[in-house]
Amino acid sequence: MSAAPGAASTLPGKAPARLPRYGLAGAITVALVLSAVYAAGQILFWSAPELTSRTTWIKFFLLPEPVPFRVTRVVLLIGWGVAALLGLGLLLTRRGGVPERPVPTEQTVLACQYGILGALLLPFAVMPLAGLGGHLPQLLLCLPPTLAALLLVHRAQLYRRMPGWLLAAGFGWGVLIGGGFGLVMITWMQRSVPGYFMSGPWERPLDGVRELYTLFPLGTAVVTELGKAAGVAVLFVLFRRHVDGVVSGVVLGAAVGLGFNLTETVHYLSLVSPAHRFTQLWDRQVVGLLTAHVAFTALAGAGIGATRWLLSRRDRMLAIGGGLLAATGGHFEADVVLMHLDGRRADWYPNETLGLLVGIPVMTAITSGVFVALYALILRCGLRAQAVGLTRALHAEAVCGLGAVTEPEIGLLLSPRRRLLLELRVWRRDGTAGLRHLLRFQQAQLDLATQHWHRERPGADSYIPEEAKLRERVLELKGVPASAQSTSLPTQETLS
Amino acid sequence: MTGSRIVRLSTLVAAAATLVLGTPSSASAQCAAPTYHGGLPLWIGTCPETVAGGASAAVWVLIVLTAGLWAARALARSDSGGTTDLQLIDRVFDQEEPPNTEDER
Repeated sequence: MSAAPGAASTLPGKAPARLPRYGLAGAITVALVLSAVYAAGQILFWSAPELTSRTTWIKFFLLPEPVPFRVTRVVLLIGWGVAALLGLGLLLTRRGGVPERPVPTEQTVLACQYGILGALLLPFAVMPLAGLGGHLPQLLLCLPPTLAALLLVHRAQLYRRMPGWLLAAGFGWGVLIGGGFGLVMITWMQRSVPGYFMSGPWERPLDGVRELYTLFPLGTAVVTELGKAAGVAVLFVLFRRHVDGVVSGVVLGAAVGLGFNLTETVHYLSLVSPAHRFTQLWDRQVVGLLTAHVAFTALAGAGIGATRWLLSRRDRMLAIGGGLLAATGGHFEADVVLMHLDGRRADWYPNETLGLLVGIPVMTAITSGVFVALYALILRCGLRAQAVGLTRALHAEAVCGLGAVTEPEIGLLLSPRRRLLLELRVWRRDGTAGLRHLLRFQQAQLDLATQHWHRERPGADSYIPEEAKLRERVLELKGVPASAQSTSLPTQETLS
Repeated sequence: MTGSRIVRLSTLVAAAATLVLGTPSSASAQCAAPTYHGGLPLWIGTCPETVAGGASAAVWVLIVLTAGLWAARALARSDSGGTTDLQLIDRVFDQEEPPNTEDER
C-alpha cells in the first residue's frame, strides 16, 4: 500500500465511524457474560446444601449478608429488567414489529445500546462505592501512591500515548466495575462454598479444608481476573482506534489493575483492625503496587491488544486465552504460594521487622516476579517495534514536505528522554499552558507517524484514521493557518 | 467423637472460616503477608505497624526526591542539546524555515 508523497492516503471503504461498527454489540456481549457469571454464582448459592446446625461451629459461616451486597442483588435485577426492555424495544423497531412507530434514528439506537450497557454494568459499582465512600480516610491514604503509579503507567507509553481519558476509564473500571464484580462474586462464594464442603459427614475434615483452601483462591482468581479483563475488552472494542497493540493493551490492563488494587486495598483496610492498617498499606500500596493485580491484568491486556494485528480468529482466541490464563494462573499461584511461604516466614526471619521489610518483598518477588518480568518484557518488545516503525514513518512524513514533521524534529520525537527534558524546560519557561500545548503537538505528530506505520502493516484495518485529518491536526497545533495547509510547502532537501 | 478430634475439628473450621469469610482470627501469631482472595490470612498477629508506616512513607519520599533531583540536575546541567531542543521547538512554532539537517542547528 504505497501512495505518492503528500497524497492523503485512505483505506478502501468507508471512513471509520466514531465507534467501531460492532463495538457496542461487543461491549454488551462482555457485559452479558459478566451477568451470566453472576447468575451462575446465584444459582450455585441457591443449590448449595444447607448448613444445618448439627455442629456448633457452623455459626462461623452464617454471618448476615452485607447491606451493599443485598442492594447490589436488587439493583442488578432492576438493571437486567431495564436492559431487557431496551433490547426488546430495539429488536421490535428494527424488525418492523411496530409498524405505526417511526424508525429510530441512529442517536436513539446508540442511546438504547448505551442504556443496555449501563443497566448491565453499573449495578456492580454499588459495593465499591459503599466501601470507598464509607472509608474515606483509607481511600485518601491510598490515592497518592495509586495516582503516582497511574502516571508512571501512562508515561510508560514512550511514544504515542492513548488519550488520558481512556486510561482514566480503564482505571475507573478497575475501581468500580471490576472491583464490584469481584466483591460480589467473592461474597457469593463465601456463602455457597462452605455448604458444598461441610454438609457431608465430615469424616475427613482435613481433606475438606484442603479442598477449600485450593478451590476458594482458584474461584477468586477466575472471577476477579475475568472482571478486570472484561474492562480491557470493553474499552478495546469501543475505542479500537486508540488500542493499537500490545503496548496499549499492557498499559490499559495495568490501569485496570491499579484501580482494582485501590478498591481491594480499601476493602482490606476496612476488614483489618486499625492497628494493622500500615502493614496493609506497605503490602499493597508499596510492595504490591505494580506487582500482583497490575501484572496479572497487564498480561490479559497484552493478549487483547495483540489481537488488533492478528488476522485469523484462531490466533486471536489463542492470544486472548493465553493472556487470561496467565492472569488467572498468576493470581491463583500468588495466593496459594504466598500462604505457604508465609507459614515459614517466622523461621526465615528472626524478627517481625525484618520479616516485614525484607520478607514481604521477597515473597512478593517469588510469587509475582515472573509475571512482572513478563509484562515488562512484552512492553519492552512492543516499544522497540514502535521505535522501528516510527523511525520509518517519521522520515517518510518529513520527506513528503507538508510541514507536519521536519527532519530535525525526528531525533527529538524518537528520544523519550529528550522530550521529557524539553517538557520540563517548557514548563519552567511557559508554565502549564505551554507544556500542554507542547504535549498535544508532539502527541499529534507521533499519532500521525504511528498511524502511517500502521497503514503499511499486514492486517491494517479500517479503524486507522485518515492521514489528512491527522496532518491537519498537527498543522493546526503548529499554528499554520488553514489556507496555508492546503498549499504544499517546499519539499525538503534530501536528507544528508 | 473424641475430645482431641473435636479440638482439631474446631481449629480447622475456624481456620476455614477465616480464609473464606475474612473474619479475623483470635490466634495471635506472626505478622501476615497480603492475600488476594478476599479473605484474611490465617494468622494475623502483632505487626511492627510503626515500621510499616515509616517504611511506606520513606519509600515514597525517596521516589519523589530521586525524581525531583534527577529533573533538577538534568535541567541545571549546561547541556547544549537541551537548549538546542528548546530553540528547535521555538523555531517550529514560529514557523521559521527549520534547518534541513541537525548539523545546521
